[in-house]
Amino acid sequence: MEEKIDAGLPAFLSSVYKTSGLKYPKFYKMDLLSKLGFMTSTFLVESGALLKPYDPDKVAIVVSNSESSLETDHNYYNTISEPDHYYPNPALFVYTLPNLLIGEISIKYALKGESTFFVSRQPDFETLCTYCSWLLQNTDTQAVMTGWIDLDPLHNYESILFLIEKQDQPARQENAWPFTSNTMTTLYRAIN
Amino acid sequence: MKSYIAADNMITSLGFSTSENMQNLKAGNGGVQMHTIPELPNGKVPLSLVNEERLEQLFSGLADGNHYTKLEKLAISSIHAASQSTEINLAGPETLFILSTTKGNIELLGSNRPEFGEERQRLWSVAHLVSRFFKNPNPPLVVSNACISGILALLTGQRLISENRYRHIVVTGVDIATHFVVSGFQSFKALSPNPCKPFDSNRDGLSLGEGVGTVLLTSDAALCPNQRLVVRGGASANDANHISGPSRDGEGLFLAIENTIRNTSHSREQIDYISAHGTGTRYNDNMESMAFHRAGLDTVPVNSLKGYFGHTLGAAGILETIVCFQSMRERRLLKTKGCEDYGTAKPINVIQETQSANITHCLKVASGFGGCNAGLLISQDGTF
Amino acid sequence: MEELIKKLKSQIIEELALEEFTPDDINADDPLFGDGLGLDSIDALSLVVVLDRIYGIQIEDPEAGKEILYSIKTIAEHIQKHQS
Repeated sequence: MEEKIDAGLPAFLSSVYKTSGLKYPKFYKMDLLSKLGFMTSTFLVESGALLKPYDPDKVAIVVSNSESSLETDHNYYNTISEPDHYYPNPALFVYTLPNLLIGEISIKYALKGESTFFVSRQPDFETLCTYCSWLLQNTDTQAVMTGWIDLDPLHNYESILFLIEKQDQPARQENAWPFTSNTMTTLYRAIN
Repeated sequence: MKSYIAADNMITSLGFSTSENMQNLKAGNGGVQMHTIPELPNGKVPLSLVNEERLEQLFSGLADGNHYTKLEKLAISSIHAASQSTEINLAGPETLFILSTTKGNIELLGSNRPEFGEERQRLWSVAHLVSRFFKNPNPPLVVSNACISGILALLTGQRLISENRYRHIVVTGVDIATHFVVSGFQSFKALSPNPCKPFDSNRDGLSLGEGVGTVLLTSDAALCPNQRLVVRGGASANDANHISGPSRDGEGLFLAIENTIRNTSHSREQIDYISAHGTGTRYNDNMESMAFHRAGLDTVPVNSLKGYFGHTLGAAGILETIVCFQSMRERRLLKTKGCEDYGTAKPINVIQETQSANITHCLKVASGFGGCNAGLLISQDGTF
Repeated sequence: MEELIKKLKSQIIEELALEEFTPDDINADDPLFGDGLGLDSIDALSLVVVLDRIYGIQIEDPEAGKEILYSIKTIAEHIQKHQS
């Protein structure tokens, strides 16, 4: 039985973009994974408002997923798979690397801090927690955007991002959760 | 906890061990040659490829080659070779495997290989297969971050060791030359029609390569009795400018270098040698020269190894760092193969003749698509 | 020529994902790589592929490419020259 791609995700993300009020035409050039990560990050930081206390050179982005850029890989592959219709598409090829979604977030919010893209079978919040805590404690990183942004070739997707801030920062402590892998796991399960 | 280097291995077009590779590097031999990729519509392309026959032969002593892809054979062979010269228990719970790769088994896409299910297209699947081959109980980590993956994987290893999460970390970087990747770089008009010429005034593009590098990091200095080389740490930083073109003023790489120096509590005067990214494209090499200049490192001897190995993507950061280790051990700076008449936007000190030198601190850098940049500092321990 | 220019405008909007533009927003004489459309180096490469794929025209030389891709009008002129 052939599985069908859910036709809804591209349209859904476009409508999310349009209703967000963001004026960012580059959105349309992104691949689906980057659009997913980009819109998730936009809501996370309230279109940049939450990043105001921080030096953008000191905001890190650490993202993970299980599919890497496989959805885009399939799309790019379609441009080279037929010898009679062979037109490798550079606009697709550039997105056949999962860290491009980090690149797009970094460009939009001018974030020049540390960044890493991990791939694991399941969300590994323990490693993310250790790694992000390390950044906050051992470098001049002031805040970290971290989470799991996953998209498979059939357009099944999961996207969750957390903004991690140090306790002594002038942030939103009343609504804040402690940064532990348990918290991240609990919140992740809540969206599933 | 410090991260010492217990062992390493390289498999490239220039050999199946670090020493074999180094022999070729010292002799000035490069592995970039004209090859034909059947699916490419026209002509040959300069590539640095691993000798497949030799790989099959080597791997046949480890397992049945029919059950593993080329990429997996490279990774497993390399880890096996590296582990022979150390007592580190790869199967222990205090050992973690980290895999650095940009495209993993991408050659399986659209290929008629029913023996490999769709799951093998996933990078985590390759990592699990490799770590389980060595009976390691921990879920492995994959770093997939374009051309800085290798450096990031080493940094991740160093950071996890410093948190005492693991005692030993097997860091392996691997990528193969495929139609997928070659066609993509061709669509970017990024490939030179000839073997690349890093930092040369006539450079006109990069050459792709494949290979694997493995570094065994450990917090246990006693496991590294001879020369004590330490991965001190480093940093990554984004250009936040464009998704494929490097920032004209080298902003991201400059920040990565500055933060590497700061994170490792060093001074720039202590850096004896820089192993650059040096792909041989006009943009990259200019950008690097700007970044080195801004960081006050324009007189530090710098080379690129891409003229020997080509650009090995996810393996590059590991392979080229291993050559840094060897350069430090042997007190030798290798010339930048392909660079005959150097010419970049800002003047830098490109090594054009292989020569002896004492290297106490070495800076390895890389940049990649997505505007990412990274730096790594390696030191001979006992000098602080 | 007018028909071709009209077609090119729609094709460029679609191929380069310029979803917030309509053909009326694009002036055929305006430089494509100015501020108006916000095209970048990847768009230039994409246009080269589009010209090959849709019109069978190959641009090998980047310098020649810059002149051909200057505006919709110059692209249209190049296509007409090569198709006659």
